[in-house]
Amino acid sequence: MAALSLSRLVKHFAGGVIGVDDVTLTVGDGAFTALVGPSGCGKTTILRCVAGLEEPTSGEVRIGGRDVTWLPPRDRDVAMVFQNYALYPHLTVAENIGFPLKVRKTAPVEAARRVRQAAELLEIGALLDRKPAQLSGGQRQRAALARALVREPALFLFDEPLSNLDAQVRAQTRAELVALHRRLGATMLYVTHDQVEAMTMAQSVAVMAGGRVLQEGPPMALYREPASLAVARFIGSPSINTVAGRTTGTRFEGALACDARVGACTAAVLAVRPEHLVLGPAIDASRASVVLVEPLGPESLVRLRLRSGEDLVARVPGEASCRMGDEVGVRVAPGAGLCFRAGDGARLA
Amino acid sequence: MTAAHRRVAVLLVAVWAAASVGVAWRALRGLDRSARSHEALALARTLRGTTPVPAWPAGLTSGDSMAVRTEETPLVVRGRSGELITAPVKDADDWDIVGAVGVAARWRERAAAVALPLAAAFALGAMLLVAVPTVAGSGAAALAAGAAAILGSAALTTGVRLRAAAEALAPAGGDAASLDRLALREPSLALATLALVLLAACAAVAIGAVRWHADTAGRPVRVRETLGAWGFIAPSLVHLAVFTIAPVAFLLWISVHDWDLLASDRPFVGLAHFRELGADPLFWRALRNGLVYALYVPVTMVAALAAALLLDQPLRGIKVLRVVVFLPYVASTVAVALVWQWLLHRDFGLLNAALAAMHLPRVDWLGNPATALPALMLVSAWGQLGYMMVVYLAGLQAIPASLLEAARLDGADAWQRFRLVLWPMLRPVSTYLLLTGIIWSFHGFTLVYVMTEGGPAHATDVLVYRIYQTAWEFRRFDVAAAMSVVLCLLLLALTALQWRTVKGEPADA
Amino acid sequence: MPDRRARQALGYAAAFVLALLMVAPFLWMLSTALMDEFEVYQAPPPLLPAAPRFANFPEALTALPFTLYFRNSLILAAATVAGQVITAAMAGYAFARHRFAGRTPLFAVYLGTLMIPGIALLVPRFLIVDAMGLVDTVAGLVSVELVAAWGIFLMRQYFLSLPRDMEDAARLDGASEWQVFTRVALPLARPALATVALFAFIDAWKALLWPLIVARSPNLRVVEAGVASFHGMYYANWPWQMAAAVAALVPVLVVFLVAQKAFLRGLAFGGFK
Repeated sequence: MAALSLSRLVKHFAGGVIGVDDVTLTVGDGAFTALVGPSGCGKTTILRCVAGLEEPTSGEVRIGGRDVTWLPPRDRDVAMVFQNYALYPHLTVAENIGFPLKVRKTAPVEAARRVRQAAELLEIGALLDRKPAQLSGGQRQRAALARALVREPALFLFDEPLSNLDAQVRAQTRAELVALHRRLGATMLYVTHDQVEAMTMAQSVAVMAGGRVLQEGPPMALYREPASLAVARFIGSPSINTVAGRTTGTRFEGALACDARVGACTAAVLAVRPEHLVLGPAIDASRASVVLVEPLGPESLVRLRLRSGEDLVARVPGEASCRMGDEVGVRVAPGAGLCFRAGDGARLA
Repeated sequence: MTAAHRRVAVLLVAVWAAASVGVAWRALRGLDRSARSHEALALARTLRGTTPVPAWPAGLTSGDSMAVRTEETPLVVRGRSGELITAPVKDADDWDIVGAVGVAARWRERAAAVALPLAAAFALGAMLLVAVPTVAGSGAAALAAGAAAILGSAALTTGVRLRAAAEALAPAGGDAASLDRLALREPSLALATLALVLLAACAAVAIGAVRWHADTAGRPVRVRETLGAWGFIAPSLVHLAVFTIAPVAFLLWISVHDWDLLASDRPFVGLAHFRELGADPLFWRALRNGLVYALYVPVTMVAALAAALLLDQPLRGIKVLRVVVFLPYVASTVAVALVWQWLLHRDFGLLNAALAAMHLPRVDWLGNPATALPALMLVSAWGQLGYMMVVYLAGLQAIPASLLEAARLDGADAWQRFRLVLWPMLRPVSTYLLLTGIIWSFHGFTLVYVMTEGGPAHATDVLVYRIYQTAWEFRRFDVAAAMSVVLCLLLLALTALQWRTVKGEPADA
Repeated sequence: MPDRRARQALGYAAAFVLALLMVAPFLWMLSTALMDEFEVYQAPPPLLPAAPRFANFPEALTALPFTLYFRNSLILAAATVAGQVITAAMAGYAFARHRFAGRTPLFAVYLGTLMIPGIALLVPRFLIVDAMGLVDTVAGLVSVELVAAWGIFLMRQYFLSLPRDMEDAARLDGASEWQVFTRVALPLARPALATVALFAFIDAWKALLWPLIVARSPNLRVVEAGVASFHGMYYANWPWQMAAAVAALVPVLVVFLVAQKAFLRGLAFGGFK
């Protein structure tokens, strides 16, 4: 096991496209970090630079303190699980799992033992003689995982490993991956575009956009204290409500209004999580009409339209007391409003 | 790779390099010596050619049919100085044995011929073993070593034996001084050895590059990748350079020089050979024959399209047909030529029997200048019909049915549907078939060689056959080269036309 | 619908006629090969032998050393197949998968060689092989067709159509570039390799012109040249000639029938070279 650290990593592609723009990131020994962001944000490029499949334009990649920036993939002691699993179709599951051992000349008896062990761990011991084409998506996923962990690498890389699974298997595999991480205590870097995956699995999440890391931290810290409007919008489902307006130094004034202790008086955007919108009588509150009520059981989502035209979503516990077409008052829960500067989206308070 | 491995590798590379240098040095010394000695190969060429041999025993005329018959099963005689391989020399009628040519190798040469390639092969094999230390790797190493040994000893012993033959011939043939003029100009031994060394060096570089690619740390990926990729490409590149790119330049060079197997100088003659061709009615005849012959392509295409239109519907057994129609293409061309010659036989052929049964006159298909070329075109059409039909069928099936249905609704009758919808949609397929077919038709040699030998009265003489005869029967390599240039330009123009009609890469056609 | 039925009948008729046309000469070859030497000189010619004479085969095939010719043809075919498959796989892989200095101009050179008709290069190729001292040797016989630009392009296209992830996975699994190529890329490219091998085999087996000029001694004759010279020697004995022709056909037909799929794939790629 080893820590991974990237310092000032830059990757330019041919034609002047910037893939990764000055990224510095550390994944502690035994930590599980997720890189999350929309497609094309550079997260996969970072993963490939760590794996050695791409060569960075500048910067440094260190694994366990060793500079591996220029090493070929096989000398880096990393394993990777690919989006489409990349199992070798001409080999059986056992041969697939054993491939890394074979090319490293592990003694056959030892190799067979470790293949069996890895297969048992992932509960695919019964499938060892099958070819990948004869496996279901979930089984392939497990075989790919087994192949990654059979040689006990210093670092695991995951490239959207769950995106080809159907929803049910995906939820189950998520939990199993977390359990696996705890059991192996391995360092893992996990790339996904799905913020739910990132939030539920990782100990630390790095949100990326445009080749940069916007913010990195524990999932709940990102959720509660996003450093920028982009992070605030990316994390959370349904996504955060935003309303344009101005700060006055102590308050935010706009279609919604709330206390906001920011020093500056400037054009700003107020962002409020759906659960922080309080619906009530239209006295001393912004007025909105209910567009749609979506009951989810333990809670309900209420879609609103403000008089001024902005759309909002509110999350209320249990059954909503309002109905479609009702006129309600909307307030921001005390201390729950997040203010961002209007131009660059930087956090004000 | 451990340090010990590395040391062994370095040592082996050193041995390999030393062996290569030794081979090259020996070859160069051999070059020096062979310039003074007589070369049986050159002698054989002279005897096969039209030039009289100086100082050859009287009573022998030289000509194409007389040669040092080294192809006769050689007789191995054991003598004091080791093995002597002899082959009889026959007279011009190819009947009486009037002499013998002896091929003996001195023990030093024999030893060298065996030991050097073996050493080289061993070194190469060992290097491969170190480079690719896997089971598959050792298999490849064994294979490479074997190939190197075979190629090496073949190249070396040929040269060694021929040079020794010349020495053995000198006392038998008489005047050694006059034979000096036949001294070898192309030092076959040296060239073969150098080629061997070059190939081996390329292999070594390729393997080394691949290995280095994998091993070298701290190098930019681009450098590693470039080295590795060139390693992968080296084998084919060397071959293309030696057997395609160099020949193009060489062809142009020969076509404007005199190339006489005997004369040591090869003066520049400008376009003399081309002028000679221009004045040669047989050349024009061959060119015209080729163009007429190519007409079978459009004719066959019409038949193929008709068949495809009939077969473009769900029919059972169409898969079997799709295999059967390729039989003429995959079948041995000589066998096909033979059976057609038999079918077209004037007196006993099936075709004439059928004509006779219908009370039609028999035709001497291949014996009559008027029908010989059409007869060959018939055979070619038979060979290509199935292929063209399958291509047309694929083209038809790629046309969306909705187009035809729309035309039907618009009130188009069958002929209009074909002319206004199918034919324009099939245009690219037709162009492709036409141009590739014509290009292909200019490659035809086997049918002419087996069925008519260009005859009767040059009625089926085509360019390739003419080139073959000019070079290998009349020994006029320079004129044959000029003819090849013409053929090459013709085919290049057709290929360029084809590539222009197929947009993008030709390989995607 | 009578119209459709008539059309179908016409289709079956066309298929039948076409198949008969294609097969008839081969059947006639076989039939004649089983006839008596003088039986064929009858009018009208018999379509089937009165009594099949299988002795024609051993007689014809021992009249000239056909065992030797078959051995030579097999050597030529094996070397051609091995050479073309190996070089096409390696170069095609490099062109499809590697970014390297000089790739674009090099690729243009390869495309250029695809344009040059090999038939026009007979003279210089022969003189080069001669200068190497390889005329009348096995090495000279197999030399010129060891690499086919066509195969390189086919392999390149095929590799381009394969996903790269498997190769990347192998790299991470610890494979060297050579292992990535041999253990992962090559097994995935088996269908394309089969196509290259099949066409190389057919072409090598059918080759006549080059063997004729470079392998002059009877010891190096290939089957095609052997049958051709047999034709000259036993001009009047048609059953023997047909027996030799049938024998020359068998290997290539067997290979073709076994590997039809690979054949059709090659046809779709570029057809006759």
